[in-house]
Amino acid sequence: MLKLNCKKRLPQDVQKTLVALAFVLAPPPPGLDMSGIEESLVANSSRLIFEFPKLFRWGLIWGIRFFEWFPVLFGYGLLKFSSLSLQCRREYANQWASNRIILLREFFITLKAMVFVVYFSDKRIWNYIGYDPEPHLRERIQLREKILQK
Amino acid sequence: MIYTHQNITKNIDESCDVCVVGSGAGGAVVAKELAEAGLSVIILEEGSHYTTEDFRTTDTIDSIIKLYRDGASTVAFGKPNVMLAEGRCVGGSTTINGGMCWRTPEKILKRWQWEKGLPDLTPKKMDFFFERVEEMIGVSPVLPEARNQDAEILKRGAEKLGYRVKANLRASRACVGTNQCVTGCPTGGKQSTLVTYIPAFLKAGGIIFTNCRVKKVRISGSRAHGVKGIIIDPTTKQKKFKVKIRSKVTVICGGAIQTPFLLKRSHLPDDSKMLGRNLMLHPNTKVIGLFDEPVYGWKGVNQAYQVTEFFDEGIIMGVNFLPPGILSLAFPFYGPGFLEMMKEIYNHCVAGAALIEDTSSGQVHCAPFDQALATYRLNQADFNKALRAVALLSEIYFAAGARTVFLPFAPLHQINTIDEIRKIYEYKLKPVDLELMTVHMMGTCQMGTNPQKSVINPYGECHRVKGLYVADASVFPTSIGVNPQLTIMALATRTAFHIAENFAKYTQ
Repeated sequence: MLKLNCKKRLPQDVQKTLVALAFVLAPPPPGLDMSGIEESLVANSSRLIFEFPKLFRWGLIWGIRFFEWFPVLFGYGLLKFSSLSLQCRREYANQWASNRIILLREFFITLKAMVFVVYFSDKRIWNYIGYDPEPHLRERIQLREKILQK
Repeated sequence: MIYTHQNITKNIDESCDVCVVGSGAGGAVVAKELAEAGLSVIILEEGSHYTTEDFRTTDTIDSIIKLYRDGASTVAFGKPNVMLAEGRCVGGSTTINGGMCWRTPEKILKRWQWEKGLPDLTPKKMDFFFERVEEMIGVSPVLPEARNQDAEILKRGAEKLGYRVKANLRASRACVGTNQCVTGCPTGGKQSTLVTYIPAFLKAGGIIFTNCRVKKVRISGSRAHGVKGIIIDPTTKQKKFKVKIRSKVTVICGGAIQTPFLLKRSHLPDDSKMLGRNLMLHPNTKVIGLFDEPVYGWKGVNQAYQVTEFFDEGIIMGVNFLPPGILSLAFPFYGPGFLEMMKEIYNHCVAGAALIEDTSSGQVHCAPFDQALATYRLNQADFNKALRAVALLSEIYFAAGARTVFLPFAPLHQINTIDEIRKIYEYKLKPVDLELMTVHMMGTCQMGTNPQKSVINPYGECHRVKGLYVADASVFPTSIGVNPQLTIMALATRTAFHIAENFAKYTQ
């Protein structure tokens, strides 16, 4: 069961950026109903980020804000990242991913890793890709009990 | 008796014979051996206590938060950065590792004898300690019914090429292969210290305080007198109570990042200036092979085999399936079609990794906000070794019938035929192009006979502070090239025996 009752929440602007980025990194294919994913993305990202060390958490949150606020530095006008068109968002993300400045590139890798860990923990994604560990887990627990009884 | 933040109601001020910081491969072993020898022992563990039943969940995020330090966000900074994972729970990293158990290779013990002046660490003299640990944690090969298809594919490919493959030895008793080792074993089959040494320690009368972060070792002059710490609520992160433990002997077992960090904060006198230096990581590269046949890597045990043909070169390889959230990190690309690709490959892929016996080194620093900061510089020799390891794993996959191999390089992330392996060398890849991770941190309080070159003596006691011991992977003088759990546990057993035999001198 995903636990969505996270008491500490990320700031609104950071939430918006993470959701927008998730759909750039792994857009759901047509037909895959992902309604409500935003809520679990935000809740789980919040839970994870509030576990991070203070300095890293602070750096990550302000890094996300920098990512959100400054598409203008890459030639995308005055719009924020989450307000850009999907195509522009993709191009902007690619520019971070392949940037010559190692700090920007590494920051994007970190951000991508965090979003992927959270996004790919959603059970609808699991169903979609064919990962269904719960029946396997139950079957293995029973198998071990049988082996131990012998 | 286990005390948690919930049943502690006031500041703690306790006295005991031995205080052990950490409950993983080092701490649990030292604590159990000394408690059984009749000493009063207290373990202080920063994480929480969970049972096997608590691990019967598939919620990856919840497990990461509960079991890993800092939500698994720890990194050794360098070019490239290396992602680290440290356990923070009762059982330490043995709760979240794959349970692989190999004795310290003879070539390593020889190096330690000849180059580091540790003549007592011969295979013959270590035999007793290895056997004692192996019996306790049930070191054995994987059960046939627990093997999975990804391990069979690795074996098939390696044997086709004539490469030596070994059945893996694991800390297990009737492990049936749920493949959830990294989020805590839900059956109790993996014999982590949580289900072996800790219960034995409690039976011998030991006490554990969980959710206790040790802030300082109490050192006065050349003697250690215990530790100071705080009880933290794991949910709110609020400090709840102060902890003061007065002990005759103090053993630090926080792992190769946290141990030097704690000793540095405690201003440990160190003539060698090696405290926190010599950080080695066994950098790990992930390579993923895509096959036409169904694989279902998540149905079966973690690493049933290892390819050991290149052990003398410092490379061993195995397969290690991962939940989708973690597997997705192995791909250096993203975007439209990524989900569809995951769907296509997830049940048809083999996720392999190569472990590099590194000669590079790093350092542990004290950062602001009470944080340890690790840095690591991958040298050219290790980078070349990583390239070779990726090439060899790719070759094995193609020999086993792979359709595509995904590589851990951003500029070159996919090859489709065995002939394309040469691209790995033609592409002029740089270390920063490589994606690395590790769970094997070692070497930051290295042992030795010379106080000018090492932090602790061959039995784990600090050269300059009596009654202060270290028993974890930080004592390794060099990288060992195999999974370090058994080496840590055997050395910790040896340290415990030494403390028990010499305890009288600490009571005077």
